[in-house]
Amino acid sequence: MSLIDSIVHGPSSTMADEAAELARRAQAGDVAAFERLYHTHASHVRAICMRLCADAQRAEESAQDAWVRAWERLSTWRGDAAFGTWLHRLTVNVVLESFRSERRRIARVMLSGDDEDVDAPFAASEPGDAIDLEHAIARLPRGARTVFVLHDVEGYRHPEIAAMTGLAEGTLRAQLCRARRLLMEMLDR
Amino acid sequence: MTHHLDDQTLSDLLDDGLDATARAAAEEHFAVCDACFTRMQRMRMLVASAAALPRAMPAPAGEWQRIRSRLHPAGPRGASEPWWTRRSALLAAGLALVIASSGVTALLVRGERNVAVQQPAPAVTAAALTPRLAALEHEYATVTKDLERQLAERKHALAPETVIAVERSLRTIEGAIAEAREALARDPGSETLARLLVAGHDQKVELLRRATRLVTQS
Amino acid sequence: MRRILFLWVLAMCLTSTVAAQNRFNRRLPLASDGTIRIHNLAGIVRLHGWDRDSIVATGEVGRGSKGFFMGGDRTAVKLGIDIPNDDVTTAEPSTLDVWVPAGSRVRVKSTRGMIVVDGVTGALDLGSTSGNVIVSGIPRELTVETMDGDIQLDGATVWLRARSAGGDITIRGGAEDLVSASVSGAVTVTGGPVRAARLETMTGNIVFEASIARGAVLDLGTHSGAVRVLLPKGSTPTVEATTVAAPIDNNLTPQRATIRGDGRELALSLGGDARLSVRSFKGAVTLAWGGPPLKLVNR
Repeated sequence: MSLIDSIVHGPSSTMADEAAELARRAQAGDVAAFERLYHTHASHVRAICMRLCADAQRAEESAQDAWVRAWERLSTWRGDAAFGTWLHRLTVNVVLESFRSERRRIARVMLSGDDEDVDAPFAASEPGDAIDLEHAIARLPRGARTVFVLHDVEGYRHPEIAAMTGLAEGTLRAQLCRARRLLMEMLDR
Repeated sequence: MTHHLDDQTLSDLLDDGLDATARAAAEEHFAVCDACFTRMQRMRMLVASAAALPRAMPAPAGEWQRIRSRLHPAGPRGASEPWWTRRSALLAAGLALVIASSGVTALLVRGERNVAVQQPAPAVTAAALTPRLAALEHEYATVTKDLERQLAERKHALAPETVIAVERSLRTIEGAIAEAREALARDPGSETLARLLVAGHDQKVELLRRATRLVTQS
Repeated sequence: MRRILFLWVLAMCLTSTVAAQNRFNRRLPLASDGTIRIHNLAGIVRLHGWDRDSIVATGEVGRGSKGFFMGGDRTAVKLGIDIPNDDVTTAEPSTLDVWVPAGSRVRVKSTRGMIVVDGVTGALDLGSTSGNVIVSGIPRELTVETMDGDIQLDGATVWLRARSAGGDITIRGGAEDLVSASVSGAVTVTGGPVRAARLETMTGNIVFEASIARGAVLDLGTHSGAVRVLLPKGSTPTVEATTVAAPIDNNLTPQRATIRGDGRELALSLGGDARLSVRSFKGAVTLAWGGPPLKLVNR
């Protein structure tokens, strides 16, 4: 099954079995097996990081951090979920942690003019600018973007997003609405 | 008609977040309000488009090498087998180490074949490592070279005592790496030496990464 | 005379005003699990965890500094003392005492200053280039990095990452997951219990004198530092030690290390499921039961 097939149709049971076997070998320290898992899932990890971070450099750093964390925490994968599912959630958590720990930027702190207010109203584009959905998502404020990507792009449910982000469900719904409204405004231009 | 449904209501309706009463009221409203119905459809199309976005994006070239240099060679935490029975990434079955020096027979060790091969003299005195170990060292060299370049560009922003501390530690680590590499050339089957060599590289990368972060975060 | 007296009084008033302006005392409300970012590049930071939903900062701005700042909202606060161009050579040390909700997530950064923490149970991310870092208490997560400063933890933590280049790292307490690495400084772990640990040096000595949890995985590695492992009596790990060019002195059992070239190898099982591995290029390895400190020998 090709990568495109796996994206469109989901992984076949054979692929899932193979991933599970590779994961078990990697748990025993087989770096070659881990590398094969990397080559299978790297593009998925990249996509989630790019959409959440909306910044190529940060996405690259987060993706690397996610893989390192996956290696370190392989023992916590018990086989009850598909390896790709486990890895996807781990990647999301790595990115969200990076937002929270403010390693690179301060979130939601107005200070000295040297930090970005990631919840500021988005900068409207000039009338007539063509913009596609990916670019529009990247221009959302971080909080709205996070919820939109997790819910509407990646398919997580509200309770799952609430658990990952620590936000109350009411806040999530408001952020999601805000994201959808802003996107419609951007895409209407 | 001046009354319209707000976006939060539309958004919640889309996610089945309204109770039966509110949902029925919204459906009744759509029957008499083209504007709200149209907006609902647009929101629905937006969500459908988002769900159809590709789940994959190409990873940048060289990413695996950068990740590999950060993985601890002792394996993931909690691996069930004792470390010495795990297959080593560096010295997996089939690897061979060739020692070449003037007039010395080269041996293939630990491989599927045990064959003595005559090497032509004069040979290089420096030891050639296993292909995989050499490849790993090359990956480390790529990563450290990039970090060293970043550090050199920004060194002026570091306090003088920090520069001295970093350079002193780098010399220590590089000395240890050189010793481990030379010893590995003499004892090619030593997994301990391979691990020590990799640990040295890890320490160097970590030190350079930390020093570079000191500048970029200041 | 009167004029002299007047001028003297005026000078005293001005000095007092300047001193008052250099001192600060600020308070903000902050959630019990708030995020705080603190920097004082040229001076000491003392961080205290308390049981109130607020953050208080007091201290004195050293000469040459730009001033103290503090801002944020109920979920996140940033504060510190700015110096021109972040150049610590131009400013005198400032002092900064901060009280934070105990469960906060705090990041502290300094260049020359010492960082001292007590009573924080949340997550700590501490970095000082040449200052020492001293933590007491039970932070849930602890990340500490220095270049030359020493690192000291008295207490326990779930997750610890401590790294230095030239500084010593001393951990007195327990950890679930511990990585501690120094290039030339010594790494010492006492107390325990420890469930997973990786201790690494290039030339610094490693001393492990802590109790180990069941199923623990311990990995000690050095290039030329001496390694001493003192296990509490009753410990039953499986031990594997290897050196390239140094002796292994085993006092746990009568078994002698096998000679391999200039180095030694030792593999022994004491019956339990904890695993201890020691790897050294040319640093001597000593394994013994808990007792009086043994003299380290490098032959």
